[in-house]
Amino acid sequence: MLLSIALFEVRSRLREFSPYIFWFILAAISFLAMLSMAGGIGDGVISVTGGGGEGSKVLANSPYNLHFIISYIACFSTSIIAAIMGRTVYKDYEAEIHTLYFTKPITKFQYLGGRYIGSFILSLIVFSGIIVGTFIATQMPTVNMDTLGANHISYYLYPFLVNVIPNLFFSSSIFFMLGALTRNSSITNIGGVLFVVLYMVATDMTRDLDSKTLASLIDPLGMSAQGDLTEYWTSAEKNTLLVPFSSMIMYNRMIWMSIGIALLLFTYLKFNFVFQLNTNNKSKKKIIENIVSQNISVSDIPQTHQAYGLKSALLQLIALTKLEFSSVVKSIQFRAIVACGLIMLFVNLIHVGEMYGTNIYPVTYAIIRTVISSFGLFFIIMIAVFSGEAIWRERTVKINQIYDALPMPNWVSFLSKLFAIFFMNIVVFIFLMIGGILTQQSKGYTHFEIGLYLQYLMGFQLLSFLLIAVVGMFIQTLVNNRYLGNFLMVLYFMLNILYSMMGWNNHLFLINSSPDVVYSDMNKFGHFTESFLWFKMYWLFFALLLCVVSYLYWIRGTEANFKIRSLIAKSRFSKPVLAFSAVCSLLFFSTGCYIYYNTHVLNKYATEAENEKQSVDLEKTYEKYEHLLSPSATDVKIDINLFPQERNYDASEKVWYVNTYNKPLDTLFLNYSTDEKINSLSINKNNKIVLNDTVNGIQLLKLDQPLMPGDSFLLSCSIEYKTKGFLNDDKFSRINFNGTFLSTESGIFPSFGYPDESEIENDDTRKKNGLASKERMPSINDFLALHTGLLGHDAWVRFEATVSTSDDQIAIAPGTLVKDWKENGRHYFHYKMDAPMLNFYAFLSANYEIKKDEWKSTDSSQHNVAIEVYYHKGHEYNVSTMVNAIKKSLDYYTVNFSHYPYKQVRIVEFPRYASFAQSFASTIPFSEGIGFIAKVDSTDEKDVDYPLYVTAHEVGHQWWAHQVYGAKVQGCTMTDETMAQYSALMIMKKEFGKEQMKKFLKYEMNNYLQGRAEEKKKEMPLYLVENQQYIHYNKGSVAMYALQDYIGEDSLNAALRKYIQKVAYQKPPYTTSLEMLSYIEKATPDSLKYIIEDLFKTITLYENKVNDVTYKKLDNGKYEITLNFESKKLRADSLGNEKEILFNDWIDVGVFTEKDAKGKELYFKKHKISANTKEIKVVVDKIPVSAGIDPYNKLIDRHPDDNVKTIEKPL
Amino acid sequence: MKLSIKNLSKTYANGTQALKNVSLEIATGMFGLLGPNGAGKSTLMRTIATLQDADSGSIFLDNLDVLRQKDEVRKVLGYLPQEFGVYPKISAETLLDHFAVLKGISNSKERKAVVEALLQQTNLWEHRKKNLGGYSGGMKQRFGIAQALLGNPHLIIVDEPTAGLDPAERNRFHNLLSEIGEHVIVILSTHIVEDVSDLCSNMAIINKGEVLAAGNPLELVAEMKGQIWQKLINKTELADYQNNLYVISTRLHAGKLNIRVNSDLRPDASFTSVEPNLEDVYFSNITNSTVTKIVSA
Repeated sequence: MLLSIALFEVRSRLREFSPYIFWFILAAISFLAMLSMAGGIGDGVISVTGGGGEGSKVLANSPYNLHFIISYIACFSTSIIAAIMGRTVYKDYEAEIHTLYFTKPITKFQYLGGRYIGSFILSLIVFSGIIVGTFIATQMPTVNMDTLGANHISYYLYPFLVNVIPNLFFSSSIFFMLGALTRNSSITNIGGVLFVVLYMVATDMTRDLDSKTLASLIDPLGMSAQGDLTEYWTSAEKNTLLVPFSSMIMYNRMIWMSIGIALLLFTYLKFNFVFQLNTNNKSKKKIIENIVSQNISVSDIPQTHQAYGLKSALLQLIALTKLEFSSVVKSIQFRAIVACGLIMLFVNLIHVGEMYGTNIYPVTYAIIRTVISSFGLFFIIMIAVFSGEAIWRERTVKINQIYDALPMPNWVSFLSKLFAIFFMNIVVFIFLMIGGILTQQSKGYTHFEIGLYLQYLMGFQLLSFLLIAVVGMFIQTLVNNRYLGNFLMVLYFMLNILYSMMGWNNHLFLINSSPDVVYSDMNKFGHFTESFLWFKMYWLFFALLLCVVSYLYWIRGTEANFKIRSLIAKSRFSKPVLAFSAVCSLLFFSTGCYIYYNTHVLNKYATEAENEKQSVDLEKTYEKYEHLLSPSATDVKIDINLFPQERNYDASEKVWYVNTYNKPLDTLFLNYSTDEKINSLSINKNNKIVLNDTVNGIQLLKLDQPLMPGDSFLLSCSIEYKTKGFLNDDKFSRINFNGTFLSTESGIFPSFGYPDESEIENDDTRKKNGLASKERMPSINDFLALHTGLLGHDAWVRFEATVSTSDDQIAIAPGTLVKDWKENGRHYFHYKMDAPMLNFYAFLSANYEIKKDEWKSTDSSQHNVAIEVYYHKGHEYNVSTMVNAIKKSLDYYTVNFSHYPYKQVRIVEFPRYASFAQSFASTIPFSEGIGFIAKVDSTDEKDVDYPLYVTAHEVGHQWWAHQVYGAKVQGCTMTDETMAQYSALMIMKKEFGKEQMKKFLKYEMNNYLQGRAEEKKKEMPLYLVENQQYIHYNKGSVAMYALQDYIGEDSLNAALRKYIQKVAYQKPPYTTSLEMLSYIEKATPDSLKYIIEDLFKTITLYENKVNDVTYKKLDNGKYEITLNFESKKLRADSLGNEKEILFNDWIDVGVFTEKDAKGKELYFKKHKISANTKEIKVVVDKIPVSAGIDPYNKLIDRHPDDNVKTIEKPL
Repeated sequence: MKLSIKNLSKTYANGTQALKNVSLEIATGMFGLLGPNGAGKSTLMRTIATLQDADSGSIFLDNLDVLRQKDEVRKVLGYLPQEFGVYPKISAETLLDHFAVLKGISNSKERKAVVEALLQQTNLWEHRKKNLGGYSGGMKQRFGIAQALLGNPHLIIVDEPTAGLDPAERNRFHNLLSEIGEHVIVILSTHIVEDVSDLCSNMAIINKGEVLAAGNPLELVAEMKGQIWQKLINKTELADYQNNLYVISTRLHAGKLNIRVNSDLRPDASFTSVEPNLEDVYFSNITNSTVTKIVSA
């Protein structure tokens, strides 16, 4: 009986439409996800699991990738289970067939059990779509075969068994319970959404839990445990290993399956297997009437006057909008979605703008950004759900026939529904705004920018959402089938994801798209407003056209036949409608043309494919000039006029170039930016232009007389740049109303040499275009490459610049301000550099506040240094930290490295269109997005004073890059970034103590391990780093910290001092990491030489783990501690294949007075440890609390948490 | 005032022919539309109520082309559909006022007066503030009637209006309808013969989309005079009689069956002649269109 009920359930459900749609949706999502990862569509930028993606060495159908794709898609499709399970019992009530069931001779167990099993089988069938979708994607002809390995069916089935089935069981139990006990389908449906959201919130909250065990166990879907297990997996591991079914995963599965069973049991006990009236009304009291017989008479009904003008239509519109609106906001769905969204929002607001675990001041734009990013999805859900609800509202309550026979115009009903959704959005925005303000208040921040909230939310956001609502209503009206309508809405949103995957970004052709608007405190909405409004206007006219079609096909009455509806639509297409749509089409078309004129005619628009093609063409045509020698700049004089309001600039330069090579140069390869107009360009040597390629911005000059070694010439050039109209995307705008940041990197003036950096790096893309694969960096042994530094070969020039800007702004360039004057309503600044510098400079201009200070030298040979911080008014929070950091840095670096060559250190704030700080000689542009609004709480254990850290790092670059200039070969960034990082670490250690360093290094270690897990090409040892951030920053920090710990800070600095003396300001060939290491090696005692090998020359990992610590009290009152541990040392190759190696190394052993290696060190000493060392005994004076091996995590270790253990009480 | 329906036909997408060449002339007064479930009554009513389109034919309300000038028709229309729901969380008073706005009654004083009067008249005044979700079927039906009467309609279409009403309510409603029917066109669809015989001055019998008979009920009954015969038989004999005679209705009576037969001549001596009633007219027509009439020898 049980089985036959179950089978009946499956069969009857398979006769419905929805299971097929669900299956199709899952299959389609999985198909697209897999296809994009396998390079089948787009550029494979999507990466669901952190692995995959084009260029990655992790195969798309690797066991790891499949495991997480299949599991995550299933996790996020929980709302489908809600729809399936919720209907199981509910549909009997809906069809009012339950009384028939309940009177049949079946038991409650058979009824519920059969239903549950049937629906569960149905869910399994539906979810099999994921496997089918992913599998089919691997068989598509468009996939890149390099991204695929052999298909093993077990890789697909394993995650299904371990995750999908147990999770389906658990979530089905919840929704079955909800459906059976509440008998309300919307509660179950909302439950589905809630489930996913609460799950996301919970995972977010447990992420910070110190106990990973707890976090793993309480994750109902079991993904945390599996995430932890594989967090640091390398490509090799991901490609070959199934995620192990660890005991933690097993316990997790058992716990949540048992809870599932308990829920089912609860449902069984609570379910009332007797006939009940429609339970929706169960709680409400029926009205009992006393019938007073009274005769009705027509004469008692007063006569009324009916009017049908515009006024009455407006009255109707208001009445209907009110009703629609209140139906929306009173509905359970609305409240549930808003509640979920707010919970999610508040959780996210706790961490608003967090960096290195450190909060920021909750400035309004940061709050709004969090609001939009965490609530955005809910808005889309809400708009999709409620546009469907609105269209179907009358039909759902079956009042439609009365409504449709009422004498109101169709446009009134259409608009009332649209307005209701519109007002719903406004209400939610008000909630969000209040939420945001409360958050600011609760964090003690009181600069509430209500105007900004209104502009951002009610302006920019509302405009975007309005069109989605129109699309929703349009779809629902046209297809006239609620499920199909919802399905099409899902497709519409998936299409949006597809666009970004395919790299399509032409906003003219993607419905409702517009340039991203980035708000900056400095530049406000800047130039974004104009283009945004034009695009939105364009789409608004499109929306009006959709409204017209919706109006024509508006369902009135019971006619559902599309042919007849088309006839009706035709008859509704009256002259005013025709005129209106003609006007809208005209406006749509003309705004489109205007936008096209701006984005494609006035400005250059290129798709990714076109950009790719241009790079390929350039490389194919000019690659032969790659090794053509170029002259070096020696003297640079610039005049530049910035026009912030117009966003224009013009500039001229006079630069002396010299031939530094020992052979004559006869051909000059000049490349220039095609965005600028070159007004004049000449050199004072007779020459012929043999080629001028204006597409790629390349000129070849043939000198009549070759430039002899040591000879020089003067290049004079004047250029101008005009901002014309607006662009399709202008996110990284350099010249702004307030906050201009122009640098040599963005190409102001022409420069000599083949532009190597414009070559495509991704090997797959190169292969596709018939190019040989390319190394990321020239080999460290490439002698020719040693003649070029990371920033070119124009090192050590004299520099002078006159910058002018608008009257109210301050303009900055590297060097000492020699003169500052106002003339013709403009502000002029003349800067002159005091020491030779790289030909690498920037011009900044904005309305700045200035903080000035001075660093006083204690050394007679070192001059004092002026300190200046240029910041945006309102961003003063960390200015004094920065000043302090500059002083501390100068203190340390001048003593330990060498003299500071310039007369000033400047920090200059720029808008947050980019998030970095960058060191130019004496001048450090610093993004408003990092550090200026950081709120460092020194009492919070997690906080890292990153304004200090970033400042110290950038000041460090004044030595490491601006004095020690490495050749552009492997290991180059070790000589600048790693060393700047080391410099900053020493400042931090001095400032905060070595215990505090542990938390910073923990971030660095974690980022390194994650970075190598995501490495797409090959991991390099530190000394051969190929500009890989996770290596030169994160591993660099860990390695340098360990190095100074092993050989001593002072002897390391002494070695570095010698090195700097040798290589600072050197002429080519430039220095390399190998040269630096040779100095360090000299300072390293033989017994420790192995650490140079471990830290810099190889990829070495330790697995240190304390198994057990005990102590006993000795007779002399001291305590003997026995540490039981294991230790392993591993070497990895560039793909992450590891092998264990023999070792006998010095490793810290420590005993502490508090848990987790905190409190005082009772014992701290390096011990010689090998794989055979299993036990160490030490004696201390006081009762120990914790002890461990490498307790401060100086060595790279994937499980840093098991290095220290709390000591058990003696027996 | 006159509603004339000419050659109206409608076939649904699934092939059901709901209306076959229907022509009717309906003048001021109560007009009863009688037919079994699925006869096409509701299709006809919905078409007149502008909710549906016909494949061919025309409907004119005086000079108003109902099929084309839908907005104009809606202004003078009062419609109570066969089945309808209400917003459960809104009170009767609010929703009726809302409907009044939608009916174009812009003056709020007038609206208030008419809403009050209608709620009084339909006996809902006491519970006007209660949410409609708590209303019983009868109350809901009365609310439906109230909304149909808003705005002095000239054409009132009520589809099975008394379903769910208790006898007293039904009576009161009938009185109201017949009073309204003195001035405007009221089309009442029902499958209860009594309703029509009590109320309507004109009627049509419709089955399978066809008009089988139309006219004044009394006249239709009079035409049947002398053709209706009845007899008490045993239940087991029914099949025999049905095979041989045109049995239009059967009714249990003290354990036996009372059958009524339509026949020009007395079938045999055991049958007694009875006065025809509207039910006989109805059943004769309905059965007529379903079974082949077997003329007795």
